[in-house]
Amino acid sequence: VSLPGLAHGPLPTTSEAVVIGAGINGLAVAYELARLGMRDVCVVDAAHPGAGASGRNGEMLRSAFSSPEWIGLFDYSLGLWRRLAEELDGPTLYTSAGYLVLASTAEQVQLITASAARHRAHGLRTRVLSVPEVLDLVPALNPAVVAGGLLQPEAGFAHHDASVWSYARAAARKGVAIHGETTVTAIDVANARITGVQTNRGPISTRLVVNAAGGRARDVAALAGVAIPTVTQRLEAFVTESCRPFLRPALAYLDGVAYCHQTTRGEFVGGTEVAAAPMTDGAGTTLHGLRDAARKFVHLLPVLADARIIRQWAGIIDASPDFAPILGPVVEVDGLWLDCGWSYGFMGAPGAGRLLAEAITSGHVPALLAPFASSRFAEGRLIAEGSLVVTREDGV
Amino acid sequence: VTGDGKVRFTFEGREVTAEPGQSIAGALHAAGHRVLSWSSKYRRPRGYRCGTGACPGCTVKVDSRPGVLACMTPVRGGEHVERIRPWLPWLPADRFGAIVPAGFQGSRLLRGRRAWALAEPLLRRLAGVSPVAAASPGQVGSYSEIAVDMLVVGGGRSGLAYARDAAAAGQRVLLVERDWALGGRLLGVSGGRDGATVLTDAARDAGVEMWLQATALGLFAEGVVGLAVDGGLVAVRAAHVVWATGQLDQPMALPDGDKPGVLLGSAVRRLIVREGVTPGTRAVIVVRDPADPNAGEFGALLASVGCHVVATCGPADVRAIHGRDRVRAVTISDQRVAADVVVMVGGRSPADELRRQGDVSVGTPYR
Repeated sequence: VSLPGLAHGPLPTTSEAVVIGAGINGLAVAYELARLGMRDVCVVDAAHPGAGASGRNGEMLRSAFSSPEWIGLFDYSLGLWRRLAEELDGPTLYTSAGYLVLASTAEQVQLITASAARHRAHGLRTRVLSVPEVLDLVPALNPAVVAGGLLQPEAGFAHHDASVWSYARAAARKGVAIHGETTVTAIDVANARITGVQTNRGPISTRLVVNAAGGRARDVAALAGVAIPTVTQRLEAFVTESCRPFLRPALAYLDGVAYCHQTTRGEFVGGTEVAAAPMTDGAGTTLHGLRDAARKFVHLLPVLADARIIRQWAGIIDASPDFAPILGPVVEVDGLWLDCGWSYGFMGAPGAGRLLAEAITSGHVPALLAPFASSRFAEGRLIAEGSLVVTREDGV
Repeated sequence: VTGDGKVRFTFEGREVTAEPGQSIAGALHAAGHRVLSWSSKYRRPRGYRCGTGACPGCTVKVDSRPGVLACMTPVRGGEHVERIRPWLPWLPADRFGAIVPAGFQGSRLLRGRRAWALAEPLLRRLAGVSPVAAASPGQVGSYSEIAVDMLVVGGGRSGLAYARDAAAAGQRVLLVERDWALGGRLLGVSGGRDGATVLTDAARDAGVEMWLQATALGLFAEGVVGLAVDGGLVAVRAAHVVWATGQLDQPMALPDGDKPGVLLGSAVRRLIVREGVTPGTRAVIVVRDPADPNAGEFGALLASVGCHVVATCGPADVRAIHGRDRVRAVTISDQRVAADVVVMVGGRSPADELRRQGDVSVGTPYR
């Protein structure tokens, strides 16, 4: 594969850091490490940049979550998103169209009202909208599903591929070697220290490995003898043909466990969470998922009844027990860092990449990152976040 | 059908007369309507192009239902057909390259936060052709499931023959075809209609169940094939799925080669042989391979309906295709030739998206 940003030629035999996974998280951490002066950073990916969830996600961005941990990390990340195109000198098509969480029941209205109070405490600008205000913002909504809404005006969406490739090119300009079609087959550990990685294209000697392998993160961690308590999930999404604009903000529909937005080009992109048969390893799509999405979105936005779906796809995430990312060093193996367990990885990548790179180079884990340490599972400190549009396939 | 044997419908409020058996797109072409839609990004005018339902050029609104492929839809009589109109349809957005450059994600202009913040609302308004409007808002089509021994996708010569043989051997066979008539490519060949009738009768006699205007949407992870039938969805579970979807003519990269009036060979065959429509009065035939016997065949076919072939050339010889919203002339090498139709006779590719979706490899090389 020859793509801008991808390295040509042989793999390096030695590298200061090897990042496994050229999704937006791996690329972000590699870019930030190079920005902080690390000389030779190598990113390896079994396929190519953005081949996994980074190129398949709903591309929606917000920071108005309900827990202080999520708000801290994701608001830092949203701040970076807002100026990322200039920082990377490449387009991200970040659009602050607003992010609307739609409440359909009295209970959900209570939830978003409580969230808004926490947002004020954390300095986030969000607004609880009345039913007429929601319908004024999105007149196409079915009034029957509107009981209220929570709007974060400066949130919105970006373009997945543009963002991934802007990171890839910016990282390459800073000297990062991004190698596609390079599968890690083993991680060498001696005396509880990382010594290198083995790949299908040869070994790389290194003392630092960042596991940013997305949907394959658990398998990659296992190569170093580290068990992470993640569950692989397959999420499905679809896109319609380009339509005249009818939906401005990014929209989360709590009742349907669904999320959607209309791109600047007019395509309507949506995804729903369905309790499907556990076909977690394939990227194939289901008719069941397509029907579920059609039913929910036509109920939500009745004008979509005759819109034509032009593509449907699936992506794999490897979600942690509390859906929060697992970020930071691994206690058992010196030199192994985790940047995985993501459910909202596109959103959080700029923030996590910068904070992780700071932690790696300084040896000090920043406060925003600390709650996401892998040790939280063993210590029973799961992060309680109540405003996620995601559910466990296994019903946990 | 009225007393004179014709069917009538309206296009943009004006009456159009059609022969029974014509498609909406064919009848519109016969009536001289060339612009049927606009491309979604640059709002370039588009029209009848492939005649196989494989491109979006003839997408129109029929009785307020958007997204109807007019070349795959027979005229019933009494329809109200409209174009799906973008915002400012006649704004030649492709002339404003600085605002809407090709592949705009890569544009330098849009790297700056402010530039993008300014450009985004305009791009957004320009985006999209179809307004979202539903004939029945909030209504989701019906859903059903069936199981058969064999599903044959495609009602052309191969599909019909295979289905006939399987049914004769005692299998329960369902054959689906997206067109409203069976025969596939046979219907675009002189005398082919009789062959199609013979095959269809044989398949029916053997017990094949045949659904027309039924489109296979995909092979899904559950192992079912989804069909779009009459606004509803049918999941078919079949022990064997036979892809007999034929081939599609491939377009060429010609300057302004998307202009209404630039037709694929498949569209010309369909218009002339199946629908009795003369594509135009003066045709330029563009042939990828000068030795392609199809070129002479198309020349004879066009001549048989009084369409004069003014030139035959290769794709590299076409320097320009003139005309604001339809073909008026073609510059071939240095010579400008008046023409109203350009026929592209290039290669064909198997219509094998469904096969690839199912990750099924082909055992023998495709010829």
